[in-house]
Amino acid sequence: MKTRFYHLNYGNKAFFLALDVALAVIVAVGLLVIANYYVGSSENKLAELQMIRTGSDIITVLDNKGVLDSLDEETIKDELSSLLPPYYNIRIQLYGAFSSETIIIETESELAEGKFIGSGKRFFRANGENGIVKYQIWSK
Amino acid sequence: MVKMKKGLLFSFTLIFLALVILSLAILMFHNSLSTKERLSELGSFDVVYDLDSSLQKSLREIFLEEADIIVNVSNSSVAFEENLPNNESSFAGEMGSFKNFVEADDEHVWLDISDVLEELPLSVMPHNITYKHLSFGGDTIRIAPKEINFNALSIFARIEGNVTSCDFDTESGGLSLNVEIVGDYGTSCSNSMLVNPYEDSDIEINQNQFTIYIDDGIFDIISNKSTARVITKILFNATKNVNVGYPDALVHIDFSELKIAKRSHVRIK
Repeated sequence: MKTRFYHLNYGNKAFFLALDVALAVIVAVGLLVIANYYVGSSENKLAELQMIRTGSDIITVLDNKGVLDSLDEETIKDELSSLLPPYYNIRIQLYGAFSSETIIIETESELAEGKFIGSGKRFFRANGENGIVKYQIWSK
Repeated sequence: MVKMKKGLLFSFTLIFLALVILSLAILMFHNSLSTKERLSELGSFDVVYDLDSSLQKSLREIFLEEADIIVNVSNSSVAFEENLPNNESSFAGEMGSFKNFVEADDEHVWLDISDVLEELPLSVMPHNITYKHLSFGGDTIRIAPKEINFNALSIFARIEGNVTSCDFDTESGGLSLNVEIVGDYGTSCSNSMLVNPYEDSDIEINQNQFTIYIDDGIFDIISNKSTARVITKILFNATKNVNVGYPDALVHIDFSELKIAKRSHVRIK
């Protein structure tokens, strides 16, 4: 006489087969969740790339319009306020042969912690002197 | 037995569905990895583009501010105006200073300016005509077209002192050459002629104070012993996208760790 496990009515084979399938579905769903996480993070990558491009465009416009040539914080800040989207913060540093000090223009004094910060730089000339402009941009 | 078969069918169907979901999950995972790599590459390209475009802009500004050469471009002509000899010390100093400044700040960038400092060559494209100096700061301007694909060459010069003699010893041909020399007190001479650019032709003003030599398709303008203000104009059929720039790649950017490298020419006008 066969011993019945767990006193099941329909036999042990079907039970274990169904259990096996259930486990397989759990693994599959788990993989799907992980894949969804990576897809979500790649969407974040797209947002990060867009942030870097925004910073690059801002600096390029400031350079091409000759705003950087002024080397004046207020002038650069005024122009920056019309270019920077409201959901970003930015810090711009200008340094070079034109001055022994670095000119810093920023919308927030402290860099965000734990957030992605996009950055880049350009070379430029102001009044015949060589300079570098670096930017850091992050979301609010 | 029938119930057993139903159970088996149910289980196998569930297995099949699970395999399909698993396959989709793996596909999405690989796709997302690939997307992340592409986006990272795009970010790197943006960094290189920023560096390259800003370097080209700065090099262009140095030329316009310091070289003391006026370049005018239209769709049917290009004109260069400068003193001969040119005072090149300011231009050379600024180019050298900029090169040192950039390369000290960024190890991925190298500016190849040796030819520019030696001859200050400018290339007229798409005609591929080189306008250069035999030693920038020296007394010779050389116009070296790859082929005679232009209609006329016009040379105007204001020289020191009076114009006392003009000798035009040219070989007749199909290229239009207009020469006008102006001196002090309204003295001048001019001539419009058709020359063969491949045969030896000499134009001498004031016993070699100012000369134009033509041979083998090359035109040399020389100001001996004194300074002249020279305007050289090259005329051709109406052409799209006429531009003037340095002929060789000046800007070298190399991010070997990202496997990205870029070489750029600098366009002046």
